[in-house]
Amino acid sequence: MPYKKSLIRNFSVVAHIDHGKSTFCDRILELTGAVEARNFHSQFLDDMPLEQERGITIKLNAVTVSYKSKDGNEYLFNLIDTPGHVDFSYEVSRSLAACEGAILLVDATQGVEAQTMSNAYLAIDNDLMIVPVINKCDLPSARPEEAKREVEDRIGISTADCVECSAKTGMGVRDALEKVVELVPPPEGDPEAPLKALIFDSYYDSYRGVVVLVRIKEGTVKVGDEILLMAANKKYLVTEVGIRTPKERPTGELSAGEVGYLAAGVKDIKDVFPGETITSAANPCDKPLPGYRHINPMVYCGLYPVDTRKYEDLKEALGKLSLNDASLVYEPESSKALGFGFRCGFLGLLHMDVIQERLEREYGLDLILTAPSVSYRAKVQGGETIEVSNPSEMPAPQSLVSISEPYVDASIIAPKSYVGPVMELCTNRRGIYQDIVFHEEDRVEIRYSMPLSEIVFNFFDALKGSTKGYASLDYEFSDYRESDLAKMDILLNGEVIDALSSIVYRPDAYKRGLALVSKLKTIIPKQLFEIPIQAAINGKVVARADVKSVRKDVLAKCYGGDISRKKKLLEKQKEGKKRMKAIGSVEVPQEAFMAVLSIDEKDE
Amino acid sequence: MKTAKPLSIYVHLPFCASLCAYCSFPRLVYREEWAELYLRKIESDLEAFEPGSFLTAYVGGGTPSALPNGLLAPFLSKLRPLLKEGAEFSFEANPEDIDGEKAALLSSCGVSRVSMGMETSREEALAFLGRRADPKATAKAVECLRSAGIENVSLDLIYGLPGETLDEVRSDIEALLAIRPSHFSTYSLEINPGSRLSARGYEEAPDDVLSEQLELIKEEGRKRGFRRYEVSSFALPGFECVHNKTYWKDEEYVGIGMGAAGYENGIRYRNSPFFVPFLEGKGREEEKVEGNSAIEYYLLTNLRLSDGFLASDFEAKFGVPFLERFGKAADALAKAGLLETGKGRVAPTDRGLDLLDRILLELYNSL
Repeated sequence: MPYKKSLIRNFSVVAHIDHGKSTFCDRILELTGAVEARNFHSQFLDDMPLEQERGITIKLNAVTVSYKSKDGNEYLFNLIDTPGHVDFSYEVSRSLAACEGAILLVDATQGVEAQTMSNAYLAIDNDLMIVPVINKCDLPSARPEEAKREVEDRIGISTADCVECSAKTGMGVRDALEKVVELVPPPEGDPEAPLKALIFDSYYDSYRGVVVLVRIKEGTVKVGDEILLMAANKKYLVTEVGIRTPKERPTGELSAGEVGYLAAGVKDIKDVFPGETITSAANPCDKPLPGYRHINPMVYCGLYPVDTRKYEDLKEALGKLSLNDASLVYEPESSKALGFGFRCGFLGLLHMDVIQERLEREYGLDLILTAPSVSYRAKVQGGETIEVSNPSEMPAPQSLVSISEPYVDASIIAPKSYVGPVMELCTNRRGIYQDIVFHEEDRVEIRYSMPLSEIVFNFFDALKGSTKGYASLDYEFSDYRESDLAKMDILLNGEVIDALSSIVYRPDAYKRGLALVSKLKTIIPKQLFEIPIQAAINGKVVARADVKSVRKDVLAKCYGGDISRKKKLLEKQKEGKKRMKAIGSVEVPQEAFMAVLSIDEKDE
Repeated sequence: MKTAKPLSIYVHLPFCASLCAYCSFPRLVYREEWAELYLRKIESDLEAFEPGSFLTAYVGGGTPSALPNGLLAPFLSKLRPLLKEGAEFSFEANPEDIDGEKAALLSSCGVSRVSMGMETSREEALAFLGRRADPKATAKAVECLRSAGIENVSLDLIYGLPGETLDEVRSDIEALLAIRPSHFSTYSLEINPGSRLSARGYEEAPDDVLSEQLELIKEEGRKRGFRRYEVSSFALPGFECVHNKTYWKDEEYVGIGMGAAGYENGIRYRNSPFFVPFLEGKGREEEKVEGNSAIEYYLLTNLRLSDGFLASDFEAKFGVPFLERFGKAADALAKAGLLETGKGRVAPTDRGLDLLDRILLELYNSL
């Protein structure tokens, strides 16, 4: 029996990272009795250990809980979680599209931050009713009035109904839920209309195939129905339908206004991208839901096993991870220096970090990552355009007509006193100034159009560095623009190391080359012979540094014949050596391949 | 593998009058009641051996000379009968502990060789190292020993102190050689993580600085007739330390005392480095030397000697010719000028001795 629609509330909680969203969601689950207090696993929605550790949510999730309101009714809440990082803004927008309302959680000690704004705008774009909630009001440094004023001035929503709370102590959380009941409209939609359901997340289950999380917009879906995925244009038979409380509970059907899960024997998660519309194969709706985008990876890097014999293990691990991660793409590639590996595409740097850590931690792999690259578009003689996501695919200069690179709209919020350093940093990173908005109190929003490659190149750390950690960053892909770019090679001992090549902005090539060879000099240990490190563009050397040969390396003191201790020390060194990659006659530590990312602004 | 009884014995006396900043060996501040307990245990351990068992003995520490004569005399007279006639009997001493009386005692108890930690000739450097000696003490001590009939004296020299200049190293080695020892050992200052010096923010000098200082020491030694026969040991002809060479030849030896290492019946062991467990005979670590580990030990020890080892010895011990087992790596090391493999002998070059750890890692990795 479908639940009475007037008693359903579908909503999300959106916030800047670290503003307390996970704790807030925990309190909601406690208040609604979804999770017994004594079994309570803190931060329930973040179900991957890595997410809990990093305090960020990567995988979306959704739960259905019932809430007894002060008005005497029992409401069905579908709480839809969203990831809290700039890499995943498309996923956030699809999750929000499954809701009628959103709680905008703002830290009373921090105020509105870059992702508060971008998430709020995503919610506004999706026509959601926004319930502002000021969190952490228990802290002595809380300034809820200022936070409210920022919400009004900068996001442009009224705080007349704003709730002050502390997710930590639980104070005010119930008031926030009452506001959800009062302000968020119940879902609309006709259970008898042709089926129209939005996929906003999915995960892989080895028994049932891909399980999708859906919001039914129109119509009803039942076990046994044949459904059509409109973008993929594929048909499947529904085998299971239910809600998550948060345990899965089969219900047999879901109808307009409801949120739940559905299994239909889908084998490949890449067939069910978020934003996809499900309809009935027999009685399809006339057009899919708006907003679907096929999203492409923004950042690429090469992934190689340190031990070349582990290639198959890496392949298997990537296969398993991609079962659950539609945005992870990979294809085999080979490098002269590193052997066989994969070129992997990610939504952003955080996504890349998370995948690397999971491969190392969950699959016990020792990996070499090459420096991340964006995807360039090279126009060659004959009018053809080639996508270049690996520097080694860069066409030869004589056949290259032009090359363009992705630009993003970047928004930085920082205290007023840091405007100078932020603008200087953006200008150094080829940013094109858009505008600057001075908000009340001390804060400024600075907008630049910037090449994504500059953001990938350690921008966030540099930004934190030049603002003592006070700035927040948000960015969104805008377009491809033609640039003066060239491939820079690195030579070790006279030999080009393909895995160290990168594509650089030609006017910066000299200083970047120098910074990179100097950095490599500190990373590559001294060896038996001197090793020249050179940076070259089209065969012309632009920078050089030398690693001097080692002259003394012996554990000299060996008292009283305690030789076992020496041997243990040597064995430790032997292990360290195993983690290095022998390239020709040069031993290169793993971190050398990411050296380009650890160059500080001051190195340049 | 050889099963004959070891011909060398090491005895550790951990007591020191004061503790040096850089030392990481098992040691205790001297207290009479502890020393008595300790020596009782050592003397009972020595009872396991037949008279005339050993060709060499080495009493190390700690600071063996820090013990008062009243405790030293009975201990040395227990140890002496275990040695064969004409055995090398070494004793470690701090220069300022040696006076005429102590020198006479050592001599009368059969000590034939004294090794002293001179370390440096400069007062401020001694203070940095936390040593109580005065720079003239070494020369005075050597005088006393010679008067008592102990001619064979070895001195230790430390280099690579933070900020140390080449001229300072030169003045140290010149002062050392002026005392005319028959043997000297030289070590660069090790600063281990967690040590007092590391906590005070000191770091080891870079390898090119150390190398330059060592070259100077080698050159000065060479001018006076010293041969570098081991990574850090230099001797006049006929004065190489026989005892230490048992270590470097991968031969077995007995280890007695707290934290002492030994090697018997194919087992390398180390007694507990802690006082009470040691007294109770607990906490000994043991390792059976076999398989690749046996080869690793063999290389680690023998390649410290400038004469290396005979290819025939390696083959007899491991049943495979060295060059067959390590052909490729040995070739590369020979090309790099670190190892010589001709004339039936495998030996590090002089540069190879300075870079022994690189040689060993190359060889270990091709095992």
